Amino acid sequence: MQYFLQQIINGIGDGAIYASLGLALVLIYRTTNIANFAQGEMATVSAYVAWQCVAWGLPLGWAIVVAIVVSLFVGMATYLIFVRPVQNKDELTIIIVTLGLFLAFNSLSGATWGFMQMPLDSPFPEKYFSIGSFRVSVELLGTVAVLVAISVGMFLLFQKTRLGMALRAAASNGSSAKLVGIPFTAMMAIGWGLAAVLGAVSGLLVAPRVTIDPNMMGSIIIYAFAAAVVGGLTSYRGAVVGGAVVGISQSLSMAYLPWLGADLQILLPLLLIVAVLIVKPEGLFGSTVMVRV
Amino acid sequence: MNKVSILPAPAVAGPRPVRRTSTLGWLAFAALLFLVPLVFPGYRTFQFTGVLTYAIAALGLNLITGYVGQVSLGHNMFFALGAYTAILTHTLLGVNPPLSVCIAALVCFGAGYLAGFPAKRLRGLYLALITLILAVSVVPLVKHFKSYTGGAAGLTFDKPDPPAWFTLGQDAWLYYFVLLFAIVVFWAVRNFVAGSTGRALAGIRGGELAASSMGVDVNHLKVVVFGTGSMLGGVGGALAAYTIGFIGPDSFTLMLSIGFLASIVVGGLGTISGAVVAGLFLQFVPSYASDISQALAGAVYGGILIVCMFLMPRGITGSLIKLLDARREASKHPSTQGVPSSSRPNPQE
Repeated sequence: MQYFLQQIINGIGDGAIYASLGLALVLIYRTTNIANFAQGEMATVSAYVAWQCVAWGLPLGWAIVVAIVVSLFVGMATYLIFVRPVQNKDELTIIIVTLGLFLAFNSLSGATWGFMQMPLDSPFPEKYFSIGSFRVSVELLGTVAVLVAISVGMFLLFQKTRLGMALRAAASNGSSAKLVGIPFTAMMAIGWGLAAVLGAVSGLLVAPRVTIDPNMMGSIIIYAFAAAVVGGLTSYRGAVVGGAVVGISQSLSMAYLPWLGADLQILLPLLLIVAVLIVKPEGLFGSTVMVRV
Repeated sequence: MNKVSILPAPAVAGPRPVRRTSTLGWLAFAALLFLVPLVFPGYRTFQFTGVLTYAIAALGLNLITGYVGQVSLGHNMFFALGAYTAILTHTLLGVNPPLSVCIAALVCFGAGYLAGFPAKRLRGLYLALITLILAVSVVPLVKHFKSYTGGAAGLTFDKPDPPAWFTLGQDAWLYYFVLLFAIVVFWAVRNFVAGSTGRALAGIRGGELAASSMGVDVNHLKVVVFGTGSMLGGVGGALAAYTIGFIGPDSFTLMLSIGFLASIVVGGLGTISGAVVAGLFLQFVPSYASDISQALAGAVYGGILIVCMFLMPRGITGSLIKLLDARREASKHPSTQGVPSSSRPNPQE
């Protein structure tokens, strides 16, 4: 029983990272109706920016602040330069453009910083709490706390501020939003910028665990997509729950199904997602879209 | 196909009235293809064999994505499945190469048919994400069954040798071997999408509900097309494996699927000739991208994709067809100034 609970706790730690990147995907999907395949690679660039600042002698805290601010602008610029011209085109065109961005960001970070693995310190001290017979690392608590802070922050932003209301209006009905004087393009750009910030947070949480290299988000973006899709792709709550489901099922399959072998264990959470979508194609918290014919 | 051929011929958006010239064009093109090993011996022939194998697989994805409108990122799975099925039946069971390609085709049709069942319930982004899971499963599966697949190190085997009477060498022999399959596949798909099935597919892409209310068995047709497209992916993979003489998981990553999807969009969705352009694109653009800059190959490749989407959202052949149509209409009715094919009335209106 104790072993089981310990595995769940470990799974929540991973799940929080998937959830934070999943939140970025949901944010972009809700504001611009686009699945951003480049989100993970943009997060990698953010982690590299933090590494570069540390290498230039900035303390880690300031490096993180710089990385987050840079990510905000990179996200906004990406929208304005690459996404806006195709935003009203068909789904496939947009998918190809974000896949192109995925290739471009991946290659740019490789060309700029090389393919060596670079270490980045964790912002959390390497300590463990022992509660009874459980061992909980400060890093895990910190990761979960960051996720909670992000979620509360997003809730406050979208529900309690004028900017948040304008963002929601622009996302839900662009032409009406324009008519009441909301700067539509600016709102879309801010949405992409905020998503890049969420991605940066997940990148900064991942980097200390695995060291930075251009492909570090490769598998994490897949799990983040899985988390977002299982939650319904339009629901922030769904992305958080989905992240937890993916993280915990991954941790449990590693612990209890060793006969599957390491290669198949990483596939198990993804199979779970497929099963959920076959039963409930709109995801756990997704809204069923009514189509007028 | 007897279940689906109920859609009455729409009055306006019929097949384009250029059937005879385009048949002649294809025959001339096929004849030209037979000359390739004589004109470009050696490495160029090997490259053009690659173009053909990619074109076959891209044609399969174009059926799924271009003709029915289902976005699939899982084509690398079927490319890999075809390659491993053909090579393993050849090396372990001693099946001869052409027959092993046919076995691979059957296996991939079955697998694609099964994968088509979840696919028919999902659409758009959800389907793209589900097939993304298919795409990332390839490498772990290959590594897991390493006693058969050779794991991460891959499998090396002898390419089929030409018979004694064939004097142009192995590359040319493999080229003709692949070309034969390519001609059969392109001819079959062209017949599949012409006529009533093609109109049923266009109906599904245009509006599922409208198509089904006109008697198209949408679900059945979607699954069959997913199976057929996957089968062509498998045939392409099997042929590519024979021409290269090596298969390993690194050749079947998600990047391959991104390449397939990008190449058919760049080539032209829902056109047969778009698949040929896609084959050329997949064979030459990535290597030219790394010629331009080794370190920035991905950025160049990605940049080419984005620029293509900005400038030619219908793809190369789509843009050409639109241009030719406009010219033709303009010369026919000088007063109407050429109506682009997209503004023709849809069948459901």
